[in-house]
Amino acid sequence: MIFDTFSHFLDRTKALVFFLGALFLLWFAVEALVWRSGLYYKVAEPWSNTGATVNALMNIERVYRPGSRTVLVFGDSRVAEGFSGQLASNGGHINFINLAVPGSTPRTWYYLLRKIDRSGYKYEAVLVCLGFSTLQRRASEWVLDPPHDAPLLDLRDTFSYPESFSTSEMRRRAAYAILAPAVTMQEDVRTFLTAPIQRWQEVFRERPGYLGALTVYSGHEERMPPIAFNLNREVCDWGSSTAEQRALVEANIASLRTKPNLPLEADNHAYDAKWLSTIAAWVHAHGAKTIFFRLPRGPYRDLLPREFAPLPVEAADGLIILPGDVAGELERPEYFFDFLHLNRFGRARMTAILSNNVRTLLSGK
Amino acid sequence: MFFDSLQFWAFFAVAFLTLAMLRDQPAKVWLIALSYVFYGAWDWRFCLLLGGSTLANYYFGLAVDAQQGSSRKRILALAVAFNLGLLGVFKYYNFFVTSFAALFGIAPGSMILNIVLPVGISFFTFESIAYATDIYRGKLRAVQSKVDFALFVAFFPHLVAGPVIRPLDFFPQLKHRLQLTQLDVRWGMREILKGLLKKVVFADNFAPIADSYFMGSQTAPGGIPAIAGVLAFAFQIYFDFSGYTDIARGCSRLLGYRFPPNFERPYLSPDIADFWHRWHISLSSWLKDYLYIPLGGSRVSFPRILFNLIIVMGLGGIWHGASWNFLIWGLYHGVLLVTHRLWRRALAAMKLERLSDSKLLRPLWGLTTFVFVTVGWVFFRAKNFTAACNTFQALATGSFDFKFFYTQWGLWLIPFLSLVWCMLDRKRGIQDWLVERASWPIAAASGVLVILLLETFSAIDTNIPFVYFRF
Repeated sequence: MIFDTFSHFLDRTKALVFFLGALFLLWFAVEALVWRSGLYYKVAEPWSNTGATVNALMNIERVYRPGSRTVLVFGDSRVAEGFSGQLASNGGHINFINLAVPGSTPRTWYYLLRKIDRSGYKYEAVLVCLGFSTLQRRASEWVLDPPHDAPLLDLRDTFSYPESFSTSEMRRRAAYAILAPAVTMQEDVRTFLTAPIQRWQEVFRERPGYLGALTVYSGHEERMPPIAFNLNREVCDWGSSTAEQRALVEANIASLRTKPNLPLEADNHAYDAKWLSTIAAWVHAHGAKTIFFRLPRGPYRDLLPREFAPLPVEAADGLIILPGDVAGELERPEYFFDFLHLNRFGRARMTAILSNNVRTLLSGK
Repeated sequence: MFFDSLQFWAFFAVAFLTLAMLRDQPAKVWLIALSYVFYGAWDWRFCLLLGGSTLANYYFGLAVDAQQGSSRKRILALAVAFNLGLLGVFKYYNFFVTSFAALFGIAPGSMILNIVLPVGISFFTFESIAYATDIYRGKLRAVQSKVDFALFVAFFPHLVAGPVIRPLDFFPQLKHRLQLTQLDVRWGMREILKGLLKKVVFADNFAPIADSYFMGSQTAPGGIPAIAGVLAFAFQIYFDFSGYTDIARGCSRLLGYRFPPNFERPYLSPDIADFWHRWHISLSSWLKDYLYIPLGGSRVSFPRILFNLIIVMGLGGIWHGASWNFLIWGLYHGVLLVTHRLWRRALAAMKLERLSDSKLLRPLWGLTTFVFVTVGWVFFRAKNFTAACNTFQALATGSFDFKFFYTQWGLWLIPFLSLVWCMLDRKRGIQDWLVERASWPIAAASGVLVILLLETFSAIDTNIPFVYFRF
């Protein structure tokens, strides 16, 4: 006889199983209390990646007006700098809420939208602003996604969220964000323990001020200098540009000259397509409209492709894709403060263009 | 398959559950198979070496036991030569060839063997030597069961980095399968969690500092100062190796076997002799029983004792690896032990022993011992003799850059808090209470606290291997 009786098996295992069970239950309870309740995220470093997501959630709490028509605006830092919710809402009947999270990708926007939905906020439309990809690595494996998404995830995402990554390393990190958020938030917890008073001030004094200032933030004053290029995309006239701006332009030109990484571009295109469709489907299921908008690509038209690349989404019910050149007029140096972000003038202009377009679309004209 | 990897814990869970399903004899066979799987995870060819060594030593044991007189001694010599031969070929051959070639200015060329050092070879060869010697000394009868002997050699928790298991400790445990009690579970889990904490929180956070210093910035101005690099390695190696041992002891206890302690707070030793009673105990006691005592032990003249100490420590040093630095490290400790003996003799002659041993002076002696031991680690860690000399030069300049300590203050809390913990739990009363008397919720809560510390402070994605795995 090779196998022993079941009662002997139980005798040999029950003590360890019982201990591990007790350990697991207690650990799970502590994790639930600290992390899954959202308690810790409220004191997470406001200027961190996780803090940026929490700020977006707190922002909606501040500016949401129950009963009014609401448009949620999603994007990355280009939307944070280039769109003003307050300006867009002024004098209209629509409340635009800017939920841009710097450094985020469409995956984060989806989970953010889902969280907002589950929190009971109602909206008429979702405006998703997509910039042209500047990532030199696979967006699907974006390393900042787990810290961005940690406050938005729950145990129901245990399998689906890690599966949305393809490398084993990122899947592990994604699993940590759900099952052991303390690992994802290691740096944050360590700095909290090192300087709790400073964190207290950041969270309870500086953040409310920051969120208040966001509403009236008008954008950067600086602007890129006018520069003349020849047909080979070489600079003919630097104009009034500073040494710093020249370095920035030269670096950009150099990156344009590198051979395009077609597999990477295809991969990132597929990633955007997948998550934008997921967002659209979610919004449609909730009876609202999704509006996709391509952000102005950069300050120098001469350095950009002539054609506006189409957005990686297919037309569907409740889905509106604004033409690629709707904000094409903003691709000028006077509207940018660096190669990616709009300045004060660009912000005001883009806000006007977008809000007018959205109002028209929602009014059914 | 490292003890701090998810892969190992999945393996251990399967091992625990499947072993629990089996009757005694099949469980032993299965445990051997699992141990070979564990060993083969590094390189399946190592299993052939392990199997061959096991079979040869099994028959050596029977042969030693069956003989009397000089032929018994001859077979023992053959067994020892076989095991040392294995070590010589796999661990030291290339080292001796390159050293010999360098000495005579010839190119080693084709004399070099293209072989990989099998992990844990130093451990299982020493265990096999102990087995044959114990039979020769009449302390043990040769084990008749091949299964029992194979399990003694291959049992996976101690296979690759010890502790060096003694046949007299292990074979009696194979007679009766122990029932896993609540005490065993708590004890095992305590050791596992303690070991993981030492390894992934303490050792792995010191490792980057030690590595950065010893692998690059030894001569770079403004880099990690020598004192920080050396201290970081002193803490890394202790927490790493004692952490490994704790996990090995915890795992074996959960599987129904007990390993002896391998570390007893060695950095708190008041003198170097005491340090070697507390550091890598299984190796130092092996060296005492199978090398120092056969050389005459304390029965020979005083100068001979001192000479033997240096020989034993030198060989103990080279056991760690095929490098002159390890030999120098061993000889350095030999010289420290000799100095300590001479010091004690001088104190006895002046009748100052009681004064020297007073409790008031103990911290001073402890600190002195720690400094000497830490200085010795330079030879152990530096990649060659020149690098070690550079480190000593940097240490001797005395221009310590304490800014580095300030910027990394959280890390240096670890040894400080460890010291405070050792003072609070001087006789391990708290740890024993947690295992023996604390209620379930309290025991589980202490476990959860360790898990939370692991989650928060572990060095993630660093993949730092255990230091002693390469020996």
